[in-house]
Amino acid sequence: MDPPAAKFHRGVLPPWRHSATRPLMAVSNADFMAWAAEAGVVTAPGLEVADCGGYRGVKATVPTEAGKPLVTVPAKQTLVTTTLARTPPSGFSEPGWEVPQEAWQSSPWYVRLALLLLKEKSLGDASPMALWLKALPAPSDFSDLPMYWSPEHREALQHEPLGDAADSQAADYRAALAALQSKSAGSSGSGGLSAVSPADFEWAVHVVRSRAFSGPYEGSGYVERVATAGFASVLAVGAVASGAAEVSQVVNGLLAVLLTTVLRDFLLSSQASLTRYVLCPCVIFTHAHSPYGCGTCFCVLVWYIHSLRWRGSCVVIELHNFCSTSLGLLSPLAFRHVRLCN
Amino acid sequence: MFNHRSSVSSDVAYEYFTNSFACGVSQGSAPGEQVFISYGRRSNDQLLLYYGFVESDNPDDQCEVLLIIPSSFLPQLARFAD
Repeated sequence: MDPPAAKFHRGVLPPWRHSATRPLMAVSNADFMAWAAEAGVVTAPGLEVADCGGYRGVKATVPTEAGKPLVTVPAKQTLVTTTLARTPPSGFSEPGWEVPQEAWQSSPWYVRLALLLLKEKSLGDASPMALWLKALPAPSDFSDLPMYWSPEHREALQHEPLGDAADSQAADYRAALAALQSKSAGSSGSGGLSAVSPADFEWAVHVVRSRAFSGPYEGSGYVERVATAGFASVLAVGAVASGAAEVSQVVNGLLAVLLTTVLRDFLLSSQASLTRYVLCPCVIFTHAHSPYGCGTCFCVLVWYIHSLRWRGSCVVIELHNFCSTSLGLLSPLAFRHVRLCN
Repeated sequence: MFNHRSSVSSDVAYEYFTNSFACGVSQGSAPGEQVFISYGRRSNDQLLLYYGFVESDNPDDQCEVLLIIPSSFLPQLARFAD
């Protein structure tokens, strides 16, 4: 079936399309790159942070090779949580920042990372990530997100599911902070978690949800692996020195321990249920400034029906390459939005 | 540091032996070009909700709609679905 001709419909543009240009970053590119180099971040040769037509990006000054890492960030410069993290990190036993184990366990990954981010930010210049934290977008940079749109702009979007999702987003964030603060209400000290305002918390969650990556988790941390290898090595040296075992036996035993550790991690990481969530500096820049105009959001661009299936007494039509806000045009055809297909 | 483009194939991987995270793309860039990565397969709804932008010609854009139709029309649609 040939795709229907593209149709276009202009709507009211959201406020940021009319807003004046804002500064790209609170920290200069040179300072940021100097911090990154000092923090052990390795970037591919010939990459430079540059102004890419009014927004910040990375340009190549020499040809870059396919498949080679663009940037490598040491894990110690990242904020990490995993599906196996049943207890909060040690920083959350400090006065004011106490988070009960139950509250940590019941929090979704993005709330955990947001807490880690807020805790790190509370250290101010004492944080080794201070400069990266300053380079993150300000709360006002997120004011363009749909959850802050006025009813008029929601109406102009003509896409009810997005409005519903934005409402749910706002409600979830408020509920998450309220739950955390109520469960930590008995904690000692002032400030800390109890002083986190809804605006601060939302900022942290926005940063996390726009910058975090997830991937398989092998079930043990780097420190645990090094500790296991170190302990096995000490035992091996002790066994040889005391004459309790022959060198060949000790070497075999040591190799068995190391191989078992690697093999266990490999097998565990292949289980989809174990996931690591990482907030990693130096990967994502975007903060509501885009090379892509939101004007496109107000176009109708229906190419073809992706799938058609039955659900109960309803027919569910999934459309491919479908500009989300154009759904409003389908209203006269008796379409009703169900949910985001995400 | 990188901006998003859906057409780019990229990956952030955990490096087990060096305890680091590496971000790479499957194609190279010429001098003067902006280097993009993909933030993952995101529909425009997700991009707008979490990042504040949408992407034109986003290959991962999709949405689901519910069609309310008269029951008398169902048999004809069933044939179309087949």
